[in-house]
Amino acid sequence: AASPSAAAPIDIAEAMRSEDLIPMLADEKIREALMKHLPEGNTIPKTEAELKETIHSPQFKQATQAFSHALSTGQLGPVLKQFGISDAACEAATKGDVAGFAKAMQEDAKKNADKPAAEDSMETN
Amino acid sequence: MDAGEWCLLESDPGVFSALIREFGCTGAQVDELWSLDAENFEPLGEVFGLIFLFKWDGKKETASKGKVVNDMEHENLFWAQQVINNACGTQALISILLNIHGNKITLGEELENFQNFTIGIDGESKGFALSNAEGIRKVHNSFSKQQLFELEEPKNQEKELPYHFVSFVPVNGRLWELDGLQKGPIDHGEISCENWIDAARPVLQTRMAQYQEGEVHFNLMACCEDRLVRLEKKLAAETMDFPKSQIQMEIETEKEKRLTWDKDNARRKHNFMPMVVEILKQMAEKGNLVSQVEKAEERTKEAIERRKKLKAAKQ
Repeated sequence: AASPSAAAPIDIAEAMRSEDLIPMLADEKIREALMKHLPEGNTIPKTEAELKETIHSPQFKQATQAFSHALSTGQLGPVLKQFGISDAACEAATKGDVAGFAKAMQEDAKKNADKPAAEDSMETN
Repeated sequence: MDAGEWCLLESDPGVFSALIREFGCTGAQVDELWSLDAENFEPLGEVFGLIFLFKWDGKKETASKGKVVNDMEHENLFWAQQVINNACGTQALISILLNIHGNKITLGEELENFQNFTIGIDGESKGFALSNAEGIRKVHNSFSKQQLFELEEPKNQEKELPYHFVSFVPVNGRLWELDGLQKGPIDHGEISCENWIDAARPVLQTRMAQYQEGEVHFNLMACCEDRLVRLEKKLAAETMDFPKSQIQMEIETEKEKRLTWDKDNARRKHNFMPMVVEILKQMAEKGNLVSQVEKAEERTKEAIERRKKLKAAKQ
């Protein structure tokens, strides 16, 4: 019972509070990417207003809490592979290492962003 | 979820109203009741039954002052013993729907079949019949708190005591309390007033006072006639302009409420996993996922501290 993740549990749902997410929606690209994942059907039109309402909803909050629990208990590791998450991030997730997972994800994103501009990046040694 | 399992149901009028609709039943809906004052019942039209929900202390004995009787001795009264814990919300609702007599609602094929199947069998057998009613269970489980996939339940949920639902209905001129944990329906005596709610009010008030004292959470919902149908009828019969516009406003309000319910239900049934992963990916791309998670760590610590303090204050 002495694993580092057990000593310092991080609730990742707390990183996805509506007050953190709503400002992100100012970015059209992010808005479009998230809108795609609203429930199917006509009940909830794919609009910015509905996206905001959903992010404020108790159902969404519950989902982030379920995700958080699954992530910190290591259950998400194998599942995240299906979402194109890198091996390093999935490995951290399997250990329930939330901080490690976030770090790996952010490093992957940086690598991907650097790729097209590889010539003037530091990788040209 | 395994076949044969029933999920926990949220005690929300939008969920219960959707259950009614998805059972194929028409003519009834469920609304929240904020108090037992007569003015709260007025907009409901005819009330078929009340659903009383409270945090269950794990004891089988009832706090009710009524008399438990043998259900087989009362014709037209549907009462089922509770065989499965999580089904009790649906059981309370069905106990009301199957006790509405006089063609006031249309049960629909699913519930009609169930009703026909359970005629003449005792309450325990009715309970087993309900636990095996595939179609009813399917509808019930479609309202399961949306799961990302098959997950272990969070630990704090296991510790939480379940809620228990009981219903109150008027049948054969008597007030009944239908509690699946008892050995039979509970008889609260003859209804001597014109409106059965007036007979139920003191019974519920006594119960609520008891629970308030013990700081037990409770909540009350009413199963009543379909409000839109009632208002449309009222509108068609009204000739004066002013009452007409009033009724039209009520219709709009009801429609808006139902749209909110539908949206909540769509979200309840939705798998948010892809959206949550997308959010994290977007944060990573913006380069602030790590700092957000650090913020979350701080918030988690603060929450733990707050809980500790609260606990200490309670002791």
